[in-house]
Formats: sequence, structure tokens, C-alpha cells
Amino acid sequence: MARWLRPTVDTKFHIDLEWWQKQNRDIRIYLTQSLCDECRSAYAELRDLGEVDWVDPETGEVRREDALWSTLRTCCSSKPGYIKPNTPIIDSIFLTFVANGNEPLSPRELHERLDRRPAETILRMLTAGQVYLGIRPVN
Amino acid sequence: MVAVRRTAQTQTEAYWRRDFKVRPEDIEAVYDRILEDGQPRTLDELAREVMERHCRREAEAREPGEAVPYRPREHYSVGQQLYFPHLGYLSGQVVGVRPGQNPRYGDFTVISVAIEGQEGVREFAADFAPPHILNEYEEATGPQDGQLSPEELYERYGDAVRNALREALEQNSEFVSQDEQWFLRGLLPEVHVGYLNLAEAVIDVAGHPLSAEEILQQLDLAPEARPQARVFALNLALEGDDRFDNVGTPGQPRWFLYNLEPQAVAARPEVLYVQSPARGGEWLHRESLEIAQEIGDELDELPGEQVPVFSPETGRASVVLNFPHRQAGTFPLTREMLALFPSGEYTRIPIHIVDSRTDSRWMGWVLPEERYGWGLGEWYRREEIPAGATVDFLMTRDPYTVAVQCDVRSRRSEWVRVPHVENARLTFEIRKRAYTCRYDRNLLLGEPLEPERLDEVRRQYRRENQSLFQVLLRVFPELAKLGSQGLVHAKALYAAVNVVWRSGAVPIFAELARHACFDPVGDGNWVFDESLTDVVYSTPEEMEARPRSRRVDLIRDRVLCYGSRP
Repeated sequence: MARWLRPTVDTKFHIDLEWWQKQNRDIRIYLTQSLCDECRSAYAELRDLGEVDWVDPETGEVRREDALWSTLRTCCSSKPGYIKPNTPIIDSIFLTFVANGNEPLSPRELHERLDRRPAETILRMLTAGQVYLGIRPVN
Repeated sequence: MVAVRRTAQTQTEAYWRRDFKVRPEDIEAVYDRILEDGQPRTLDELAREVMERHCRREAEAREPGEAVPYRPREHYSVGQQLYFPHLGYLSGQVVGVRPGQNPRYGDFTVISVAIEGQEGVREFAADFAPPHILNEYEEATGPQDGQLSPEELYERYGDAVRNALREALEQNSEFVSQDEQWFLRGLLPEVHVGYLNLAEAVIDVAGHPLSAEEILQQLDLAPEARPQARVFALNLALEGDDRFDNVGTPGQPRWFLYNLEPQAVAARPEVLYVQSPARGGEWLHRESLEIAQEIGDELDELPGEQVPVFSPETGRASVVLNFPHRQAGTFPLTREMLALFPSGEYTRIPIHIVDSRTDSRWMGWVLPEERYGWGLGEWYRREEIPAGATVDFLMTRDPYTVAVQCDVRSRRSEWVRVPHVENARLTFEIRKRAYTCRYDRNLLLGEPLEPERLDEVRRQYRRENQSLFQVLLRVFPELAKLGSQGLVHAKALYAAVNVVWRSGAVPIFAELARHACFDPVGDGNWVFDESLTDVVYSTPEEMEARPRSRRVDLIRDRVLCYGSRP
């Protein structure tokens, strides 16, 4: 039987896409708000594409992923202003996951990347009870 | 048509220095290697194995079947055999091709590859025009004979692999390291504090540094574990306990107790604080240069000069003892002296010193980075060795033992300058002393009666941020008044200045050359003209001609640049 373990600063979190579905919320609407100006104007094209082939810049391996998500990750997230100093911390965490393709990260790693709140504070924020933007521990 | 084959990737510098990454399979192989025989491995050994493994994988992948290395820009067809150098030489067969879909990249294809030993297929980009790091592999061709062996590859590129492997192992909590040796944390015998207390007692009783192997002879630590594992665990535990000091080298730790180390080993004695070392580029007279070479102060040695090499039969070095070393019970480590001791990344070397005359033996220390050794204070007193004496050091069969001696002759009385303090100023009085050792009369200084008052003057000079020139202005007249003609020998000045100001001979002699108030009058002697203390000669020609001099006995001597920097 699986055992529940209290999350720590080294527990991996990610954006749980099932959570968005269960909440009847569309993550794509949320993601479009983070598009850079250039990609926002081409959004209609992106929306029609559905999924695209993303090529790993180191291995050449191909991964199918949502066109919108892919654009955010490969273009918008590398532009200045993607995460601003005044972006709320929980949004910054969400955008960090978007930027890294939703690869799981621990509060300690999030702290290293964001350099804003201590890892313990990030942990408390993500485990206080309410699930923000679907960010949950990886099962 | 002549068939050409691509040079194996593992034969190229780009593979090891640019593209190499430690992969999970490498870590797994390292894990298995250590687990297999239950003993620690050096980073060198592990890095060699990783390189050999990569070479082997590539060689296997390049065997029959005409597999080609994967590159995103190439076109591939169904049925073609590929191998992936950047994925630890995985190999596989193309089983499908479809158009790629992403307007950001333009037209390209996606190939499906069935990887050997893996279920399912993995997709890779092909006909891919945008810049990609894997497209930058050089298409070097050439004969396959003359390939470098894994050993030769290690010689050339091993440093890059070692660094990458060290980084990967450091990030893996299953591995633990000690002095470039790696082991599995799960295999470590437990070393609890009781063992460390015993180790402390063992070293305390021995009174000299011990290796972990020597300490283990008296500890009943995990007898079921492999000897190397026990040594590793003990070294690791000693390293983490602040009672123990590793005085060995990275490959050969030797342990001693901080509380048994003499003060001069823990921190440089105050009397040896360096105020004026030679830096190269100083201008000084030819005669001064010769005198500086005779003195052979370690502070006059410039970085990058050659280390003398002795044959074991003639291994011998002599030093002229100056006042600071005499007071601190230390000895200078000139390059000539350093050549007597084992070389390596030592910060402190515990040694044994043997008196050649009496065969008595005691412990000393050599601090190569600090350029001094410690352990002769009692010997200087017992043998009545004054500052200015020449002390000889001889190699022995044991690289950690050095013999010390002074040329003994019949006791001879001498009028000697003895430093003392008057009105908070350094001054000198002439006293009669008798010595049996060989010494330089100009460098000779008698034992002060109140050394603590000299310490106060030395501290005062430092507090006041005196310059070397200001110190010379104070010391020179004190020496000049000891004789009838006001002559001061350069060696005597060097010896006297060093009572309160640790300096090499070169910086002192360079100040003499630069300032018009000092004039050379031959035989190493200088005179002082107080009215010219504000005049400085700025060119070598002026220093040589000394146009402001009023001395009729002035000698004209060539001025030379010290070291390579003019």
C-alpha cells in the first residue's frame, strides 16, 4: 500500500494537469496570458496547430507537445520580463514549471532558480492546504 | 572508389572536452565496480574505466552493420542502423519516417528508432537545418591505424573526464570521497567517536604523525571489512574531526593532533612577518647583487626560478642564519633547501632533524609555502649558533629526515654587534663574544639581552607604517657610529635592518642605490649624508654616477636590474 509522506524541501512538485481538468479550468487560457508580444500576435496560428514536434537542443530527440506550451517554453520564457520582480511568487513558480516543460522540481530547486523566498517558505506555500494553479507533489 | 570511414568520436578532442557528459550508465558502472570488490577507487581509476567503457561502446557500435553516428542534419531511411555517441553509444534501427511539424524549424523529418535493449521506439529529428550542437561534429576522415589507445586518450583528455566524473559523483549521495578516493556510503564501516578518541590517544603516544594504516593497527575497527575500506572510513572520520590535522599529501594522508603542533607551525612567528620581499625589477649595484647572492635570503628569490636538483650523494644545502630565524628557532627554506625535502602538495611536512655531531634526533617541521622550517631553536641555543652563522643541512636516506651541522673550529673571540633598545629606538652595542661555528663577521649579531623590547620596536614600526627607507634612515646612523669612519657594510646593514624589519637583501640594496644620501665607497661599504635624504635618483645612469655625491672616495659601479623585469 502506498504510504503518504509529508513533503519536504526536496520533494518534487509539478503542474498536475489532471487537477486543471477536475477543476474544469483551461490551462491554455492561463498560458496565453504569458505569451510575449510577438507570439501573442501569432496566437491564432498556434491555437490551430494543436501539438508540434519539439527537438531537444542537446540530443536531437523529438517530443510531441502542445504548441502553446512549446512556444512559451522555447521563445517567451527566454525573453526579459517573462517573470518580473513583482510577479507573485506562486505565479513565478508556475511560470518556472512552464519554462522547463513541467519537469518536476523541489522547493529547494525552485528557490535556487527564483532566488526569492527561502525553500521552506515555498514548501509551506505549496502545502498549506489549497492547491494553487495545480502545483502538487509528484505522485 | 575509396571507402572512407569517419574517425571514431572517442578519438577526438571534441568528444571528450565538448560533448562528454557522465551518463546514468556510467554512474551505474562505477557503482558496480566499487561494489564488486568492496574497496575504494581513485578518481583516476574510475575515470579511466569510464573512458574505456565509452571507447568499447563505440567500437561495438561501429562493428559490422555499417551503423553510422546520428546527426540531426542527415537524411535517414527505414532499415538504416544508427548509433548515438551522445547517448552513451546506444544503437538502433530506423523503423519509421514522418514529416516533422513545427513552423519554428521549417521543413524536417522525424525518424522513429528502435533502440537495442529498450522497449518501444524513440523519435529523433532528421533533415534538420537549424543550428544544432550535434551537427557540429567534424567529418574527419583518416586511416584507422594509428588510433589512440584508451591509455593515450586518458593522458590527453583524462582531466576533462575526471572533472565531469567528480562533479557527477559529488552530486550523488550514494558516493563519498576522501582525498580523491571514492567509495559507497553504504559500504562504509562505522567509525564512532570512541574510535576517534582512541586514535587521538594513539597519535598522542606516538608523538609524531601516523597514517590511518598505522592507527588501525591499534584499533579493532570493523575487522570484517576490507582493509582499504577500513582505511578509507578512518581517514574520512579523522578528516571530519577538528582535533586531527592532515599533514600528508592528497594521496597519502598522515594524521597529527593540532594541540601537539608547535605555535610556529600553526601561525607564522611575528618576527618573520614579511615586510619587504624582492619583487624583481629593482635596480642595484653589481657589487650589491653579488653580496645579495652571498646572503641568499629566501625573500630575494623570485617566482619561476629554477629549483636546484641534487644527486642523492651530494644532497646538501647551506644557509646563512639571520636574526629573525635565529630568534624564532626557524630556518629559511630557500629553493636549495626545499630540494632536500619531498616535493608534492604539502603545506606542512613533519620531519626528523638529526644533529650530525651528536646523533641526537628530534622532530621538526617544514612549511614549503611559508618558506620556513621549524625545530632548531633549542639546537641554536645548545650549540651557541649566532645570527650570521652558516648552517649546513644534509639529506639522509630517509626523505623525512635531515641532518644539521655547523663547521666546528676552536673557540674564537669576536667583537660583536648586539642589538638593544634605547629610548624606544633600535641601537647596537659592541660586546665580546666567543663562538666555535663558522660565521660571516659582517652578518654576525649577538644574542640580545632584552629581546622582548626589540619586539616592541618591531611592532611600533609596523604600527607607524614605516617604509623601508625610513627604517634605513634610523638604522644606518646607529651602525655608522660604531666605527671611526662612518662606514657601514651592506651585509651589516641587511643584518641590522632585519632585527626589526623582515626584508630581503635586494630591497635594502635597491634603496641604497636609489637614494642620494647613501654612497658606495668600495669593498661593500656605504656612507651616509644626512643633507641629501630628500634626493632620489630615478634612472640607472644617475644611480651609477651619483651626481649629488660629495664623496671623493665614491666608487662608480654598474647598476643592474634584478630579475627579468626592468
